[in-house]
Amino acid sequence: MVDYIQIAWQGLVSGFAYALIGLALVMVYKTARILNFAAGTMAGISGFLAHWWAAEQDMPFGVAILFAMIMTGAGTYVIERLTVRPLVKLGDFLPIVIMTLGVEEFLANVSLLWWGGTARRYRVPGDIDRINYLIGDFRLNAWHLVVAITTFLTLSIVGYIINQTELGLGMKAFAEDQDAAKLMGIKESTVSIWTWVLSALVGGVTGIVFAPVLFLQQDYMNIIFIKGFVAAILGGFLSLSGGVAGGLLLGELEAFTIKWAPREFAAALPVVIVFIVLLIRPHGLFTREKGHERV
Amino acid sequence: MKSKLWKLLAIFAVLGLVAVGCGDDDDSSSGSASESSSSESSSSESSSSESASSEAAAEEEECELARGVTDDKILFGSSQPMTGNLAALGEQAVLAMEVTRDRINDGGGVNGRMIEFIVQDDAYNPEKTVSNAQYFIEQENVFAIWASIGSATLKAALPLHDESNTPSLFPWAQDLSFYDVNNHPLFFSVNPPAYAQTKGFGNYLVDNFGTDGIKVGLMTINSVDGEQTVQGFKDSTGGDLLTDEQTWERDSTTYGPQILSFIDSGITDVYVGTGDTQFAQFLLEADQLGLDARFWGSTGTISANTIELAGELSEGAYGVNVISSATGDKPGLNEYREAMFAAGAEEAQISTASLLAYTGGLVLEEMLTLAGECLTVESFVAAGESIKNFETGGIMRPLNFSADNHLGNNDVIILQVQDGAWEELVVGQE
Amino acid sequence: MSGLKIKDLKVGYGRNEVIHGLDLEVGPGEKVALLGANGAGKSTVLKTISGLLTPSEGVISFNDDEIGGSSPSALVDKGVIQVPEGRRVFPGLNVEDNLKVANYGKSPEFLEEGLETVYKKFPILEERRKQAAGLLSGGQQQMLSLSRAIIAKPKLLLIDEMSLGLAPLLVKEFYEQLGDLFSEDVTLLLVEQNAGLALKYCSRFYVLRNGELVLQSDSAEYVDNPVALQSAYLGVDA
Repeated sequence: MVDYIQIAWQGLVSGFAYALIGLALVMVYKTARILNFAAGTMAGISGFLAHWWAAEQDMPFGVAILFAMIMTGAGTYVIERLTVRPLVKLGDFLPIVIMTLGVEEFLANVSLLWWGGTARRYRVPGDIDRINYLIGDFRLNAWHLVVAITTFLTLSIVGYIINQTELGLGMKAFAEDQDAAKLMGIKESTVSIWTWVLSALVGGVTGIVFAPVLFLQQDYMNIIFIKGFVAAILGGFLSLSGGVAGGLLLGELEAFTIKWAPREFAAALPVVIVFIVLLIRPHGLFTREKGHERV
Repeated sequence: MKSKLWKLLAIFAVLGLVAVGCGDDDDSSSGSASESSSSESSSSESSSSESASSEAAAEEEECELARGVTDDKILFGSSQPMTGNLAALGEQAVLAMEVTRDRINDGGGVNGRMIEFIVQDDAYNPEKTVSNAQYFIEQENVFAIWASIGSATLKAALPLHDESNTPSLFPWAQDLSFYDVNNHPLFFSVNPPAYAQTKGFGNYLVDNFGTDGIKVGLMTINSVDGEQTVQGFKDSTGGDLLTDEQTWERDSTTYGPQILSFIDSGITDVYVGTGDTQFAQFLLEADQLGLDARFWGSTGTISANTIELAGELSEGAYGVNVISSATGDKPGLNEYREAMFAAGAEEAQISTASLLAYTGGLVLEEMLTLAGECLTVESFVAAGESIKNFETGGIMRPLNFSADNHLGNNDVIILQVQDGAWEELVVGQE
Repeated sequence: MSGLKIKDLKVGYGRNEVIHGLDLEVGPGEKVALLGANGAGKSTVLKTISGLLTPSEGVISFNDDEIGGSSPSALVDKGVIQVPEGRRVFPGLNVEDNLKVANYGKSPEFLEEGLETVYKKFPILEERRKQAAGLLSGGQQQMLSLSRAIIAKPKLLLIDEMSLGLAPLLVKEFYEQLGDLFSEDVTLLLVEQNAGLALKYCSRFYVLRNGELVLQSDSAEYVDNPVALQSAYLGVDA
């Protein structure tokens, strides 16, 4: 029994990463109808920045993270204004997506030049990532607990912003009906840029909190990005909570398929399951098929 | 319904574009790498080649030099992962090649010829490796392909090398098929196959820990490489101890489920065939989940970085290497490190990847010297096959080549992390 | 104060021109209807005034302020408010959030005031304030759409096809209520298919056919002669 709980917990921890990146992707897609392919690399740079300020500039751990988050927000602001905004006016989906690919390539090269290709250890205070608690037969890693709490807090804050603030209201209105939202006086560029920044901050938190788990290395968030993408598809790409649920589900699928499936299929099985889900429910597991009422 | 489907199709189309886009963009980064290395070498070229070229001119009529060879220069190509998650290894290998090149050129070259090489990025993508090989052979007219990294990648490109009479020299690649001299007569290596590593591991295990109560788990990559790794262990004296086989994928983010399976099976010894970052993560997760076993890492796991990343958790871990630990204290290793640091290497780049490329460079220099002034593919291969008891200053056991053996070294070295450093336990485990 | 003035307006989607040089005026506080058959370009005109579309040529001014090509949000700030065709409530947001959106970027005090007004006029909206707007009936959605406009405090109100998809009796009620919902001095331009209803409420009207003006007149002249109007719509003699 403990065995299953242990597997479920390990799957959940991976799932947190997929869920957060899935959320970051859905947020931008839902509000602005843009797929941000730079999301993973941007998240990785946040992790590197937090490490760099702490380990190489001798800043306290928390301050370094704060700086990294500020840089992430500010950098994203600039990136959105310089690369995405000019293309939005043209109104086509593909050029913007290709632009985010270009941004991804650029940032990946910058981070490679700056930090090189060698993996680094992201040290946390008290090396608590190396501390494990034994609860009965269940083993709990202290940093995994931090990951879980951070994920929970991040989701709560995002939930608060979406549901209780004017920005959130604007995001929701835009997601539902862009023209109607414009007619209500909501500025598209304002909503768009803060959505980007919020999405990048969620990604940044993910990059930082998973750095001790995965080690910092070039591209370390790219695999998480791809899985977050799958999570978003699984969730229907238009539902924030769907993206989160999709991520957690994918984490569990991976954990349990390696346990039970023949080893030749284990790795492919989660992808196959996602594929089957999409064949049956092209709109994802967690969104109802609905068109906007429009005559 | 329809519009949703379209959206999905669009997403997949875009995903397809990502793959294409990544492939294309790699060119740009590799282009700059190749420029820098060739420009550096050309600057050191002019000083010492005048006397040699006049002598060579006398012999010109009798000798038709190989492609890529002139009176004052030999050109090599090298396909490396310079981007992607194996980029660190590519960087390390290229640095060792630069060290080799500069050592040879600063000493006046080989038979008056300077060494030059071009690097192209393949991001560990076999298709790119093939197109790189085409580029080297058809566009750049290289003499040989040198020190490339990767079994899957080399396997794809090797037929092209063979067809175009292009030697394949000292790669970090270990597929069993490469060592068949009849099929690949121009392939030279000092790197035993993965098969030899697990065989050496199994033999060492039984010799030192017996068979009582021993249960072995293997974690290998889900590919042909991984299967040969498993086969090597099965063919060792410890073959019957194999209790649990697990695989990992390049896109794995955790090894937790595999570790839990090892715990379930009561494994006492785990052999992990990965790179150093993955091995460190494996050690971390094994500790988290309480896998109480001896850990054995393959060649790729043996680096200072494993110890840096895993810290205390790496203490006591074993390594099965094809080559001495890059950080060990032997004359050959000291020379290697001195040269690497002089060339600007970081601590983490003192690794198996760079040491293998460096050691291959020592043999390469010997081959070129023995081949003499008239450097042809035939004279080069004959020179290689004539090398016996070649001393590497303790980096490997003395190397021996012959007409039916182009693998200079077929034994492994067993190491262990002791007090935060890799220490050799046995050199020459078969 | 000179109300809405449109001179030689040309608009299109891409290269496809839909409005070919329109002149139109609505005096301050005047109520004017823009009529025409399906696809005549009526909605295009409204969307251009409200900023969703950009004119390719021509001048649009409101109270002597040049507004052609401004962004919708800038126009909302100037009091140019559109009630869109098909109501366009945000189906996933609840009723109150829909109303909050109408007060976007403005002080919460205005919202309270507005909510009070709106709930007094449409008590059913208050009853259902926590319900998703998508679950409301068509009539209730139209109430909500109008309520958003009330909260936005329009100076120039543009109403697009209020009758669309609603029962005729219900539509009639809405038209009768309009004078009560918005103050007398709001300038109004409304687009309507149901000419009979529109003429009863508006003092003047324009008829658009294939993007061109074919008739303008006082409503009084046609209120009792809908057949003549129909021929103007379709371009055939009755």
